[in-house]
Amino acid sequence: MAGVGSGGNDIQWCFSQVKGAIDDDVAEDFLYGKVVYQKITNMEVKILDFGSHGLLQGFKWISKLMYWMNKLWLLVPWKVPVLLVLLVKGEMIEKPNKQNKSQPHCRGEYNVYSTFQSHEPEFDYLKSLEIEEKINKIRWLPQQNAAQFLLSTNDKTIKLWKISERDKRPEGYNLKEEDGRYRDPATVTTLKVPVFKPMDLMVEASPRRIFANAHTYHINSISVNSDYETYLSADDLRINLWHLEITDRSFNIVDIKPANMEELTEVITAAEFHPNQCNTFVYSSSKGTIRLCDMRAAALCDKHAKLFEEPEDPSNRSFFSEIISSISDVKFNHSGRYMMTRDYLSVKIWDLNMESRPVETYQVHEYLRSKLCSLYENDCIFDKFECCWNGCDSVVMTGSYNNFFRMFDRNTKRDITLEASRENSKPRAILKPRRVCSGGKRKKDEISVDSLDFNKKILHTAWHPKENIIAVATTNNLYIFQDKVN
Amino acid sequence: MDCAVNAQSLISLSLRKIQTSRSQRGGIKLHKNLLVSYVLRNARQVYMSEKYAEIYGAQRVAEGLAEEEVCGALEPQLGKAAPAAPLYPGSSSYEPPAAAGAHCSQTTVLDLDTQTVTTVEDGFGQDCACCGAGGRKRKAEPGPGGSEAEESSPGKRLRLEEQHWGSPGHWGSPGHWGSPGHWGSSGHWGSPGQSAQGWDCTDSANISNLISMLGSGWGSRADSEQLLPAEVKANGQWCSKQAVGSLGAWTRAIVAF
Repeated sequence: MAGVGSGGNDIQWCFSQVKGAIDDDVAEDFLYGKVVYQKITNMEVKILDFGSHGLLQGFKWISKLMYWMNKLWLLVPWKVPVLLVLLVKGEMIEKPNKQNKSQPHCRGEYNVYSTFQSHEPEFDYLKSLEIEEKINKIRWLPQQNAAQFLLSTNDKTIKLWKISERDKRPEGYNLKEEDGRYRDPATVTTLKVPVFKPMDLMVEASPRRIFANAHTYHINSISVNSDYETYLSADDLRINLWHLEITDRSFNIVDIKPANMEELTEVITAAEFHPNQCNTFVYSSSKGTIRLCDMRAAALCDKHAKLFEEPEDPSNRSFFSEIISSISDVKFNHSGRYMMTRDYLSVKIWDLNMESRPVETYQVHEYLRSKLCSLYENDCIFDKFECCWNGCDSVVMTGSYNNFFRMFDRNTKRDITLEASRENSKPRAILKPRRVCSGGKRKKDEISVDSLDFNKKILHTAWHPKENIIAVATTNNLYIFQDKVN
Repeated sequence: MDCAVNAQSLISLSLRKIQTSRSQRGGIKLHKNLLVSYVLRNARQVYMSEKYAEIYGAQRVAEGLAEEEVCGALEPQLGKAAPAAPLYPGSSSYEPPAAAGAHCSQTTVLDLDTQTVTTVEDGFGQDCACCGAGGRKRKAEPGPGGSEAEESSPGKRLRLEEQHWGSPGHWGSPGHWGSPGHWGSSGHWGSPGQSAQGWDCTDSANISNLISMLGSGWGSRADSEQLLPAEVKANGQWCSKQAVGSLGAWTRAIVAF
């Protein structure tokens, strides 16, 4: 299956597609909150031929990205001044090879499927606070009928969206013209039964449920339970359990708010349900601990069933130790036996049966340890990187700076650094491994730490659940890479 | 380190970040500000230990020093000596100063959930004269979007910060350092020539300096350099405890939004 490195049976990653604005400039005014509300009306999708770029105009700021289990779907919320959720659907394409023999390739080309605005900016009058429309998390629901359902959340409100296709419309009304004008009943001489006629595919997104007013602090996670009936939402201090059908009530299952806020030492940073056990969930904290809770034990799961914590290495102590130990993402593997956590400098894999330390630790960009001060100055130290598993849980992937992303093969213990950049984006171009030199003599093809661009960061990556197709989100672009097919 | 990891510059940088976060869209982010406050605490501990080490060298201080002695000795020092090489926490023999006797404190908490404000007597010493007067009222500073919504306490935000000072650092002990919650057993600090007095909670000159700097838009380095001397000054009394340990003020200031 998937491996890293080059040569032999290992995977060679090839460029497939890139979506997003060519202009890589970061929208400074957006960063600092001076939002310009622009309606994005003109979306041009230029699909050239197979394997070429598909270019979308007008999108900025990929803020979330994930694959869904059984579908070749990508869901990409783009944090634009007017926030959109973009669905990109992939299809299997058959293409004849040079010998003109038709051979199915496991290549998907992803095209824009639907775009809609999920949340609007709101204003909390009681606290005089603006609530950003930026989407923090999206989770798919398992498909039960022809429509797709997903949950999306901003800082305060979770919404359940239904995305459905419409490719037929009724025609032949008796009292209405085709353009919608009403007919004078006196002119109707015959009657006919309206029939469904095919039409251009139209994808509609409609909000089905709105789960609001349950979180005082900023929501950072949502996770759908394996029972497919409930889901949890987590903010800095509390975790609530919802039923998908019920919007006016939620149960608080974790509350770490101290009686005296002065005594606050940690906040919740991420939470996820176990993929198979509907009673189990984990939540990570800003202190680098993960707590596993069993909802059968008590109604309020403040008391954890397991506490996963690795003792700090005292020789690495610095001003910023607390910041870099804060966990930014936690993900169960597909079987639920292991979970992966991402803190600022490393990825750790924990065995649920062992709480004392992780079973594997991978350094993502250890060369940054001596740069923490300037990373604190430019706020990069607060970046929340995500991580993901591949389909068979043998490789883990996470992002870094300079548009680099890293993969770690758990079996061969090899790792690779790749770059998502326009310069390297020729169709089917093989990605070359990159190397960062942290000091001393810089070898050829290496990049020195000081020339890394910290504005170019990859926070979100996603791996197709079945194929070796990955999606990598840079600031303004979405890159899709696939393994080289011979 | 790639930049001058000067504890003092880190302190001013952290305070600037907290100040900026107040005007950020979406409200104060609790997580980020919590992390910033950890850096602030770490930097201040190092800064204090640097000052401490300056005065006493590498030697551990024997007990018996009155708090007042040190305070007075410190004050003239502040202007002169350059700080020693940054000492990482854990490497110094710094011990935070003890409470100077009975000492009351009033803490005002805004609970974001219930939107109620409660004032809690910390109960350290109920008859501290300084707090007899109760809370000080201050003119409200216009916050992001206006914090005038809470009519019951127009100066709540600033009052939270300033009234907090006396609390005995419950601010967790996340590291292996001298935990801020464990103040030394006896007074290691003091100022010479002054009788032991309870710290004056309503030391307005000192506190208002700090608060006005925070409230009025923090930006210049000059302000930040004023910060610690402002805390230390004021009638030669060493307000070390609140200066060093209690970051609860920051938390509460954060929570208030």
